[in-house]
Amino acid sequence: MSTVDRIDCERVRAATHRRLDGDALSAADLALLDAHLATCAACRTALSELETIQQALRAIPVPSFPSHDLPRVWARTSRGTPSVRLTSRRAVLRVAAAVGGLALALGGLWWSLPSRPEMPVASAAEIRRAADEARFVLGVAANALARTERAATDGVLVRGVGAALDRTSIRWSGAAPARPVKGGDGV
Amino acid sequence: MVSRSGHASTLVLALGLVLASAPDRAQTKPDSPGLVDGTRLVELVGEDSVRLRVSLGGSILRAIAAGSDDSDLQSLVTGLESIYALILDLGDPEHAARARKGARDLEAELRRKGWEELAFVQEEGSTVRVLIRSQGERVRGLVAILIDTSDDEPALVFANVAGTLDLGRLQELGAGLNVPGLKDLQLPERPSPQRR
Repeated sequence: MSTVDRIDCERVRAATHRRLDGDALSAADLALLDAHLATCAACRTALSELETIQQALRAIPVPSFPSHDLPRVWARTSRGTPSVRLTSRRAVLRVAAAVGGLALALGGLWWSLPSRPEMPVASAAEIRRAADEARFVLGVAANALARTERAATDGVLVRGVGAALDRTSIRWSGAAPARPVKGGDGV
Repeated sequence: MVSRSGHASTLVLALGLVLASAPDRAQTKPDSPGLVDGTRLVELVGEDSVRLRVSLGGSILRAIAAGSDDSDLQSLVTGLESIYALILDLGDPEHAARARKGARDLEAELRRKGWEELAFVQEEGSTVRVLIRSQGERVRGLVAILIDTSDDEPALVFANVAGTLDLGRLQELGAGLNVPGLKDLQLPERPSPQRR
C-alpha cells in the first residue's frame, strides 16, 4: 500500500465514522468514499465491522429510569458544594479526641469550682406540690406501720395474752390479797 | 487496625461523656438498696388501672428538704433518695387475683434479697405488708403493700421509701401527716398521676 493509498484509507475511515454517526457528508466526500470502498477490501471490512458493532449496540435494551430516583442519583453523582468531610478513621478519632478533651476540661473546671451553684431543680410551686405528694406517700407508710402495730396489739395482747389472763389469776405478793382477774376462777 | 492514639482518643471521649452525665446519675441513684421497682405491679393489671402514681427522686426531695415550710416533713425527707407510690384499681376480680399474687411474689423476692418482713396483717378483706431493708443499724428502705377488697372501691396501694429512714420519727409524725386509713383515702383529691 502506497503512502497516497494510506492517506486515502484514513480519510475514508474518518468519513465512514462520520456517516455512521449520522453526520451529513459533502458530495465530494461521498464520491471519494464510494470510489475508495469499491477498490479497497480493507476499508470495506472495517466498514462492515463498524456496522455490526453499531447494530449490536442498538439491540441492547435501554432500561426505563424512574423519575423519582433522579434527585438521589444526582446527589450521588454531582460534586455539590465543597465541604469538610471526615473520610478517614484517623480524622474521626482526632475530632472525637478534641470533643472529649473539651468535655474533660469543662468537667474539671466545673468540679474545681469552690462552691458549685445549685441547679434550679424546681420552682416554689413544684416544691409545694412535691411536698404534698411526699406527705401523702409517707403518710401511707406511717399508716401501714400504725395498722400493723394496732393489729399486733389487738391480736397478741387482747386475743392471745388477754385470753390467757382470762383463764388465770394473779396472786399478789406481800400484804395485798389475791385479786381475781376478770373471768378467772379466783384460785 | 486502631492505633494506640486511637484508643486514647476513644477513652478520652468516653470519659468526657461519663463526666458530662455524672450529675444526673448522682441524682437518681438507681443502686440504692432501698429502691424497689413497683412497675411490675402495673404490668399485672394494665396501665389503665393506675389511679395514682407518685415518683419523687433525689433532686426534688432535696428541694423539699431545703425549701419546704413544713419542718416535720423536712426532717423526714432529709436523707431520702426516692419516694414512690402507686394506687391500682382492683375492680376487676381477675386484676385483684393477679395483684394478690404479684404482692406475694414481690414480697418473696424482697425477702430473698435481704429485706425483712416487719409485719403482715390480714383482716376483713384487706392485707397489709410492711418490709424494711436495713444496713447496720440504719433502715435504708421501706415497702408497704396494702390490698383492700372489702369495699366497693377495691385497690392496691404500693409505697416505697428509699434512703435513710427513721421509722420512729415516721410513726411519730404519721398522725400529723393527716393521712386517713386506706378505706378513707380521698383518691380523687389526691395529686394526679405523674412521674418526675
